[in-house]
Amino acid sequence: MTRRPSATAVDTTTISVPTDPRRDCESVSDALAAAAGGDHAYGPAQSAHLASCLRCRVEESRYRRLMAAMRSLRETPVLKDSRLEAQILLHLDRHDHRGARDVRPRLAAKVAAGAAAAAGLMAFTARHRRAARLAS
Amino acid sequence: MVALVERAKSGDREAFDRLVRVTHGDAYALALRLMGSTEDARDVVQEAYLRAYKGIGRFRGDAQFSTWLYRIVANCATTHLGRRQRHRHDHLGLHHDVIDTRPDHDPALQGDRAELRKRLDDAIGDLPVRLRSVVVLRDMYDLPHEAIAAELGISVTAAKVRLHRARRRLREQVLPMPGEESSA
Repeated sequence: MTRRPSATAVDTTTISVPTDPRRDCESVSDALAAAAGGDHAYGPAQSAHLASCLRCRVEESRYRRLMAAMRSLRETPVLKDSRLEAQILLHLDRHDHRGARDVRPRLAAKVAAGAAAAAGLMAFTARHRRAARLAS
Repeated sequence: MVALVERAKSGDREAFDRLVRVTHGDAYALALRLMGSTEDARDVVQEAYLRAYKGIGRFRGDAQFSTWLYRIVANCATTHLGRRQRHRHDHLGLHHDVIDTRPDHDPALQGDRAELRKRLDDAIGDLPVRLRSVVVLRDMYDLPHEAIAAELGISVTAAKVRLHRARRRLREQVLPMPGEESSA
């Protein structure tokens, strides 16, 4: 079912460290969830474990079934809400009307502010001229 | 659709209304899966279309209109969920009615698939909102990780971690391995 730990026989060139097969399965299990969507590739060690571990291959196939079911769930239509379209359009209408109502006061305020600024400028200029005339 | 979007972008309200007519079913289905209640889904969809209406001029057209709309729905759902969690406990049930109109030659197989979809639908509804949003947007609606992270206000790494956790939970609950049944 799972890869057996490497033999503990000591090689003169390399020393193979025994691995825990359950830990291999756990490590691959995390990778299976990541790879299920197709945006993650297995590393060489994970691929080697998958090739030799039936349990992990079964788990991988269950992820494939899960992903297929997820995609088909999207295509399963939910019950339509018959009033929703009208409610959305009404919501947009309200926004449009509120916008139109808001434009007039905003415009009036801008005109008033502009007029006040112009009056202020004229008064300032007149006072400045008068002061200059008196000084001469 | 492209022509409608172009007209809507130039301020044609009638064109936008037609876009609503064409796309609101899908937008509502996504909102329902994210929110878990018809009432909340309705609010989210209305808000999403208002945001889309206001922002359609900024839609660049480098993605499909539906993808752009899904992102807005996801963003509105996140806002709505945040607001809702401040007011009351989260309702996690997602037991809405589904209609399956697809024909299948093998009734037994169709029954198995329908049963699997039903169990999956229930399991998605039982996921915590933070996991559910990510798995629905990625595995059902194919939104890229970056878009999901942006709309949910989290990092791409966090989005991926949540996605893998969600897939694992769903797999354990819907298609358990021997020895996992008791916890499923």
